[in-house]
Amino acid sequence: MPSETVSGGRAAQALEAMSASVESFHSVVATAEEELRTYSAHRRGVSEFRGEQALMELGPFSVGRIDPEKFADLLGEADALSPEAIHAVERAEAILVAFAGSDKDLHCVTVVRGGDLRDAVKGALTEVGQIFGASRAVEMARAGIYRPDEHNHLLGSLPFRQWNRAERHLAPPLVVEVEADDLVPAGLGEFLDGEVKVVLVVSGITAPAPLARLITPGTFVMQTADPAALARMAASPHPGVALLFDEERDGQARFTHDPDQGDTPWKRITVEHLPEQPMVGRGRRDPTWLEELAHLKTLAAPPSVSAGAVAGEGAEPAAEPVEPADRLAAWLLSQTDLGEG
Amino acid sequence: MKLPTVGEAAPSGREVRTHRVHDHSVEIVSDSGEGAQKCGQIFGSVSAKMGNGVWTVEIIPAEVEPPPRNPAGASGIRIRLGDAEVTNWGDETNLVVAFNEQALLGRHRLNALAPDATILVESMWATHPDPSIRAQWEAAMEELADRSYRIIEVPMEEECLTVVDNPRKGKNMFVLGLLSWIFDRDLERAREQIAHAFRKKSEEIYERNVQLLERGYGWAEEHLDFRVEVATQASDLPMVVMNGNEAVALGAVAAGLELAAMYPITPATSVSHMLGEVFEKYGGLVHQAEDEIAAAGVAIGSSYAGRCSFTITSGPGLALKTEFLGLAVMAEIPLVVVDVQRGGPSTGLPTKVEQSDLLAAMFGQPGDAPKVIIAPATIEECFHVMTTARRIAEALRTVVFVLSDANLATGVAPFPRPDLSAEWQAGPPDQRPIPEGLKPYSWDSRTGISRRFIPGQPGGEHTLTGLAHDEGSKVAYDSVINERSSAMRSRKIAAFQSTLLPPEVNGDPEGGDLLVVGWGSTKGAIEEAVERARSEGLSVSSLHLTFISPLPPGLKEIFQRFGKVMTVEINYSDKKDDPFITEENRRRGQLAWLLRAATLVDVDCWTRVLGEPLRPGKIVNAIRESIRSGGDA
Amino acid sequence: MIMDSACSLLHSAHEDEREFEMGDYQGPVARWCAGCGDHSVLTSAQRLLAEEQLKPETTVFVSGIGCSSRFPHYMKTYGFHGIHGRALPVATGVKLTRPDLDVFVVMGDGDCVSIGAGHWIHAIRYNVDMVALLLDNNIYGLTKKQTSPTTPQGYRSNTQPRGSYLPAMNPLEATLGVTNASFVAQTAEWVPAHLFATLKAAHAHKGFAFVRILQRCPHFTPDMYAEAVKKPDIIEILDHPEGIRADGIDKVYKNKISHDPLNLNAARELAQDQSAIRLGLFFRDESYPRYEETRATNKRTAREKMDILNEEFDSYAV
Ligand SMILES: Cc1ncc(C[n+]2csc(CCOP(=O)(O)OP(=O)(O)O)c2C)c(N)n1
Ligand SMILES: [Mg+2]
Repeated sequence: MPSETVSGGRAAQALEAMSASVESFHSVVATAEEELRTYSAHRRGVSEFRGEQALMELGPFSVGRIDPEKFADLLGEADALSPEAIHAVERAEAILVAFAGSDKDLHCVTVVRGGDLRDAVKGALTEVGQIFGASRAVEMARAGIYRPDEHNHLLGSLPFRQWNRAERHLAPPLVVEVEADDLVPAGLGEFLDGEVKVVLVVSGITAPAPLARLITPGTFVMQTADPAALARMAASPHPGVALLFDEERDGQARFTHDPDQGDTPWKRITVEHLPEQPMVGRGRRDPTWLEELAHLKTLAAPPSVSAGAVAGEGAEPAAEPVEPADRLAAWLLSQTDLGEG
Repeated sequence: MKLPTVGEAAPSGREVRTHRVHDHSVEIVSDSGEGAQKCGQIFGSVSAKMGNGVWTVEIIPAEVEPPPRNPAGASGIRIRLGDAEVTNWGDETNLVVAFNEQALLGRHRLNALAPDATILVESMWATHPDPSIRAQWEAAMEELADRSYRIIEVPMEEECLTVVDNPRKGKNMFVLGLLSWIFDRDLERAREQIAHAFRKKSEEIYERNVQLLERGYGWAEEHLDFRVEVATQASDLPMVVMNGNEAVALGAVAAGLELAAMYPITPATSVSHMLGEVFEKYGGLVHQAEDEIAAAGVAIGSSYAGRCSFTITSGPGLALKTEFLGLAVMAEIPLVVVDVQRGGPSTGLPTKVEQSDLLAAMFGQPGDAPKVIIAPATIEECFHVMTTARRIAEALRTVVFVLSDANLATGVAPFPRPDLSAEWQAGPPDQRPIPEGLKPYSWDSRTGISRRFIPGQPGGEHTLTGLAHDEGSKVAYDSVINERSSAMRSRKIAAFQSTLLPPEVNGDPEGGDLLVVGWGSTKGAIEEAVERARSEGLSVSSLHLTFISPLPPGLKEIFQRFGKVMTVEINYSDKKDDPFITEENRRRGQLAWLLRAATLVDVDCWTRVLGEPLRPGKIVNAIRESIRSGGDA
Repeated sequence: MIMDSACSLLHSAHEDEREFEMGDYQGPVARWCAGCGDHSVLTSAQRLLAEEQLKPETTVFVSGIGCSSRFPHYMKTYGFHGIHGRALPVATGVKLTRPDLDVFVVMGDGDCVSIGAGHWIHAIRYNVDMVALLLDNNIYGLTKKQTSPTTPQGYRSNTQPRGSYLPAMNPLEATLGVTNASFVAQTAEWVPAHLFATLKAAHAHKGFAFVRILQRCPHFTPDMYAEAVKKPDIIEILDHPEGIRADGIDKVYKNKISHDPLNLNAARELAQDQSAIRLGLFFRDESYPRYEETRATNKRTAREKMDILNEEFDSYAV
């Protein structure tokens, strides 16, 4: 849910664009919560009002025909839980109810000036992890395999590291507000798994292509100034990270890397804007900035063009003169294995 | 306008007489496709809304489009109205509206009409340009003349032509108008009901139908000299009105069933028509399989995968499902089977009622295949039975039969609107891991019940099999295992039986000369007959069985309070005085077989297979006869 | 995000980081005869499951009755050993209810091509996502050597001691003749690499993947494929970049023809022509409609259903 505290409303817009994944996460939590509530009511019904519960389940047709108490006795206590398990279920239920009922903002994070982006994301995911931990505790309790000493930690928070595959696919999107100076996205790589989606709402002038280094064949990566464009990431069945600029600047690249668009980087990448020149002059040249930009350019261009590879027969004629930076990038590329082959 | 009558003098100086009755049956008969059924349904709904007890039942020819003007092709509907709840189609018809005299003749020959019935018949055939039609009319009138019917000719065609070009498509609403005047129905309600019935059609069609309705009403007001008053009792209870198949379909939704697998067969098909319309919005699926065997297989596969599913069929289809039902019993897979019984054996009487599948349901599977059999007796029960059936199927991991029949399937009656509860539904498939040591058939040796395993549950991996198997679902190579697993499957049924309550006696629980025992759709007719017979001073009571496998407790003790016990059923039995029939070789009604075996009481039976629901009057005769002949069973 | 009744948040709790080896799928020791081709299929299936890391609890093997239908008992997954000829309807019910399960069907030639023929034809048409294996030994094994529809004409059996009267039925031809057939392949159990590659392709296929596996029965029909086993040259491998390519068989199976699995007419001709035994992918088209998708509905909670039902009742209200 968009929070009022979000400055400039861009975070709210970003969240709006991601609303499909936000909603589906909320409905997953709500369904689980309802399922659990029904289960608990049922369990309490079975243990405290066995006859009444059996009667309700058998329906009006059974009235005067089946003795509900006896019917309940037949089925016995097959599903009886231990006191520890009941305790765990109740705590887990409280956690899920709190999440489902509160308008607590799970999806918005702000990195305080000078703060650590990675820590902020990690912290937010760990908090979401409570939901998964609680769900696991419930399932273990229901299955009769809950051991308090071993499993009580599930009722706290569950760091991303411990999320399983399904949980990583269920992960809700995060919208992170961060100052340009604190934008150090490299550390986010470890969270880009399953269907985790991170939108970095940045203010100020950033490097031209800070996310280029997060491009891997299966990750959705986007730099844009248009919040609406984020909807595409929301719909992608892959992990994704997006940078939302506060305005379109010549010095900032805008592009999309969509894993579903092909089996080579240049098919997957659509470039909307590439800075002609790095924003800085020769004297203050920052190799990291250039590296990222060069990396993006090489990935985005078919090899025959960018690397000036041997133009064999049938090869497309090079459209642009070959840049030294492209050569470097082509070499780098040849040293890595980014294709899926 | 003339008002010719046959069998009674024409009224001079018209004076309208109103007959006050408790109960009245009306039939509308025509060639098929003339809308008689729609007319009757609307008339029934309006009457129910006004507070009459109503039972309607369709008169269906065996062929889809029989030749026109043919006694065998009579198509239509019977509506029985009462000043109290009506539970069955009654005896004979008091008032008939016939679109042609041949359809009328068909009903006459089936003895459907009361000897003093009033008949409104389309007059155009009497003066038809075709001489052969005129000759048929003459002959028909002669044949009808041997009863004291009162026949009134109505110029339906002529009247309808003033409103529409094609009266074939309008006579039914004109007739609705006639009946509305005769029974003093609220025209506003009739208009509402027309709007509902034609909600998918254009405004223009609605307007035209209303004009026809009013025309009919006006004609009757101007020409007829009798009206019928069946007192109405407005009730505060919200009511709904539908037929038994619709009730089964909605009951399946209410029970949380999500997959219906079927192959079209009369009279079960309309359940799937109904579900085909609505099921998807509940997340459900009607699977029309390649045959009934596959339908059973798909339902079983679906149940195995974690839901309880159901298959719906009638006699010939049930025969095909046999092997799969045995598998479901053997492998303890919950399954609900709805059998809408029709006449048999073989293709039999596809559209007509019979209660002849009881023993097939009970013993139809080779090998010992214990299961639960439930027979709803009313349309309301057709709705509620589905929840109970599903719950039992899942709790006992077994097959539960719901035996409906063509009488319930096509009968329409109002019942109290169900107060729905989400508790009637099962939760999503149980996906909890299986605790170590628990086996797919860890039978509780007291009850025979075991926890159901569902694919997706870690630790529960096993192969289910129709071969004899042990607790671990391992194929049994040891004879003792088969004995034990057979016992466990049977014990579930016995354990369940211990939860059943003894049935209540209708009439005098202390006992008497005769106890009539019925099951399924005949309840209304039997209880009405018992009431009439008791009012004649006969010492008779009745007992209606809902659970037939297992039978409820206490039957033997109840039977012993009566001089004689006799089942009344719609299936074949030899009559005592038929050639060759002795007490030993007599083939009895199907419930009678079971009751004799279960109680060792000498249970007699009175059964008919006339292809129609039982008439209370005939049952009264049977009761008189049975009591008269005394212990001579 | 896939959401259905069986894949809610609560159930995602069972996801884990287990790694499975072939042994994790092995049930009790198979009781087939020594030398029976079914052993090879079993091993190949276990290898496939390990390679694909399918979870034992969400994998279901459905079978009918016959020697080959004992298959699920020897797997450590869920299994459904039903009745003769009716595996496909059961599997269809499983998959319609639980699209999250991986469904495999194992049938013998009597099971599939004779008693279950009606279901077979319709299962092809439904095109529900599952792998259907026909273990074709051209004979009824379990009931001890009776003629099956695929028994070669003239071949002697206990029911037709003077030789089978009718020409054998060709399951590939029949399958390819059915509207909506989306995956049709043939392999032989004595060419394990090809068998494995075929199972893998069948499992990867979205839709009803029909695989006829030529299977030796040393007990009743030892001579049936003896020649084909001895003389790899009478076997023709269908080869295509889009087809099935098995590692390391080229040295032995040199006889290859190119066949584009998108070409249905060519596939039908190849299936019909009996001049060679052909292994490979005859046809594949994933664009065909799948019944479980066409019929998918939004699942409702009990409360939602009751709300809709209440509305429904309004139209029956008196
Ligand atoms: C309804 C039915 N009919 C007949 C049988 C007997 N039966 C069991 S298996 C079988 C044929 C087996 O042959 P096939 O399907 O080719 O399998 P195989 O044993 O060769 O693997 C037959 C006829 C049966 N179990 N059920
Ligand atoms: Mg065989």
